[in-house]
Amino acid sequence: MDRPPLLMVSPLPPARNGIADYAAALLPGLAAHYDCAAAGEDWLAEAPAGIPVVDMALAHRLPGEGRRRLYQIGNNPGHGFVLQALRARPGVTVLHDPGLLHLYESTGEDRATILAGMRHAVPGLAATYARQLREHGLSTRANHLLFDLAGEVLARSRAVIVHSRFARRRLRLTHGEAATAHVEVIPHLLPPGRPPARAEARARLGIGAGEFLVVTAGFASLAKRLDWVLAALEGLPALRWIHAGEVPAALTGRIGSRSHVTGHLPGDEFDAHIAAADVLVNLRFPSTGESSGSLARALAAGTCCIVSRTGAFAELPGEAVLHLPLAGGARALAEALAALAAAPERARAIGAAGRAHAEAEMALPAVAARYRAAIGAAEGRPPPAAEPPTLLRLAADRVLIAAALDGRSGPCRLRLELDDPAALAALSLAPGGLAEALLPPGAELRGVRLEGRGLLLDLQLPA
Amino acid sequence: MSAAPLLAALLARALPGLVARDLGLPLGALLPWLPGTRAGIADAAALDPAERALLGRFRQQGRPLLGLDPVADAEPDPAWEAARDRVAWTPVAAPVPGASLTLVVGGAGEAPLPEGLGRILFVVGREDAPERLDLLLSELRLAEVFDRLGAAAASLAGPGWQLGGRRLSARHASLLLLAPPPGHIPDLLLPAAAMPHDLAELGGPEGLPLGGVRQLRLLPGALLPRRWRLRLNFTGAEPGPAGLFLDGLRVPARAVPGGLVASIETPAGRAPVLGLAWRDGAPPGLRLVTLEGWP
Repeated sequence: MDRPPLLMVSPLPPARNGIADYAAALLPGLAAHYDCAAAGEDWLAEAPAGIPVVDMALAHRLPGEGRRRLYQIGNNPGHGFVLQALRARPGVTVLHDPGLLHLYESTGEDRATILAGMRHAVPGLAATYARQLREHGLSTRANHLLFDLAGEVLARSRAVIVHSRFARRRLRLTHGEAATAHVEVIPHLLPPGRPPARAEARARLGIGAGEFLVVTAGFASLAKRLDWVLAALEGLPALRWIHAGEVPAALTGRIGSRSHVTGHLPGDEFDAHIAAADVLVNLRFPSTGESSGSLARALAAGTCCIVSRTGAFAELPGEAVLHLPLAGGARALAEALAALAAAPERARAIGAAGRAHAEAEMALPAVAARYRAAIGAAEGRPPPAAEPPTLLRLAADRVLIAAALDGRSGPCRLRLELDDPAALAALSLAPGGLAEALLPPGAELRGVRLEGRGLLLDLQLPA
Repeated sequence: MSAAPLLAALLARALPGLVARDLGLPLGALLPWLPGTRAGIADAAALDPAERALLGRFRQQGRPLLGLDPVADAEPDPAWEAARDRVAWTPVAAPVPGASLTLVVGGAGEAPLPEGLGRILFVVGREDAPERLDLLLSELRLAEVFDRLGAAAASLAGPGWQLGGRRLSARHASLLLLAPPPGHIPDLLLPAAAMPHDLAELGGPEGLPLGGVRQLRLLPGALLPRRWRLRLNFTGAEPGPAGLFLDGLRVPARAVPGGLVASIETPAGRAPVLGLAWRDGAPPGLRLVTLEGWP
């Protein structure tokens, strides 16, 4: 079979990154349709057999140059190179987390770009929050919920794939119908291979037959609400709790006092913990629409999952997981765990229904076929609008700029020559920043970067 | 450009003490054959952006490749400025500013030469695939340089070679030097620190310091497109479980005492990028000293 070439740009194992695992799991399915290669920053990364890994900086030299590209982007610094690659060449992007502010903040994106992204995401709120960031360097957790910074990825991608209708709705609400018309939902993926049987996994981990094991998994971010799990289990001392993953130093003492924290685990160990569990508690609050690799593994293993009734998790069928209301947090969780511990057969039934759902919706061949359809449809679409050409080279003078932009509308690029960097620095410190100091009213600053001795401004001019 | 090793040998014999710049990247035909040649790009704006970004990662003796950073290009280069014979290799049909001799790959065209400039037309390489270059130089030096090149060509030529040339005028001469198949393919020996690389450390005669380095790219220049046996020579420690990469893809390599050996098929039309990677970083004290190659 003559398969067209496809380059997946993504972190891969052994990166401690759930999206790396996802990418590695997806590749064999895509390889049924495409001649796949994977590009990343780690040249020794592990791809499935038969799929070459190429240094991202040299991907353009691969035979079949111009091959279609599939980008895997998540909200952490491990995906900075993916964003850079997308900027260089459009492709289909899998957005594992519709909120990307942490990615932008943690990969050295300049503050002007972040501020522009905030203004673009929620113009009404950006004035207040952006002022805090600009004037006091304050970026709160609220910023990560309010400002998704996904506008650039939406604009640069031929198609965007998310794993839930919630994620698509969220993007649509923020960025509008037109900017998200190319967003498609493809469910998360079952991990490759058969998970270990429950009895085998419990024997391997030394879990007694009569013990009721609660597992939480992955990096213990605050949104995973291990504080609720801790509170819930305080009244249930007979239940054993293992956290299969890492815990930030600030939480280690509290969580470690009640649970066994394993630290990061290799894939097979991780799977064994999930398969051995009576219940995987996989909470999220707040949720930005992210997907969960741990949940996919638990569904594959037939482990009963307790999830928050929010975000993507609320879309799972009621019989396949146990939904926990957001109100009541720890108490509701305690009640649910106590009930399941009293009737473990109910946990088994939920786990079995979860597995049946996953096998029907999340199996690799079905998911890969949906990817093929999405990638194929994207090829038929016009490419994302090219970056506006260098329109004008000007001194950093408000009057000159206003005159040059007069009568123009839409996207526009401006290069300001840095004849006097000190004056430019002073302007950037003015109330309202560089944009207000230099740009005419209504001109929206979408991006700023230094280029040689010039400052390149990407603008959106009012109609 | 299979004539590059022959031209390099010819220039090195004819013009001892020459300092060279190869502005032909991403080909870099001269680079492997005249160690110490400074690498660059004649027309960076014409490059594919991804290739330009790739080449922008490299440093040679701590400096960006020529043609990518006007500020760095303008910085003093004492070795270049002090040399009598400053040879620039370029695909662009015009004398390179600052060079006393400009080698134009493919020839400089038929347009009349600017006032004061002379041309030596080269036909060199393999007899079944001759290649054309023009050497542009001051007409005041044409006779002297032509004589030197002629003598060097005569000393290089072996049995079965074709050798010829004549001075047509004070401003024009031609030189022919063709080797029978497979052509003039010398062994490769490059000091590691002379090659463009993407490490922060500069390196020197003792090699490139690699202790703790996880990934490294090297730009040796264009090897003739064929199978090469390569050997990377290390000192200070054994390289351990290192991965070797050719244009970003891993190639089989075998550790031998003090080195790493591999057999690679080099691409045509561009300088391959060699990569080295260690999962947990290169062993402490490890230095890459030379790259050797045999066709």
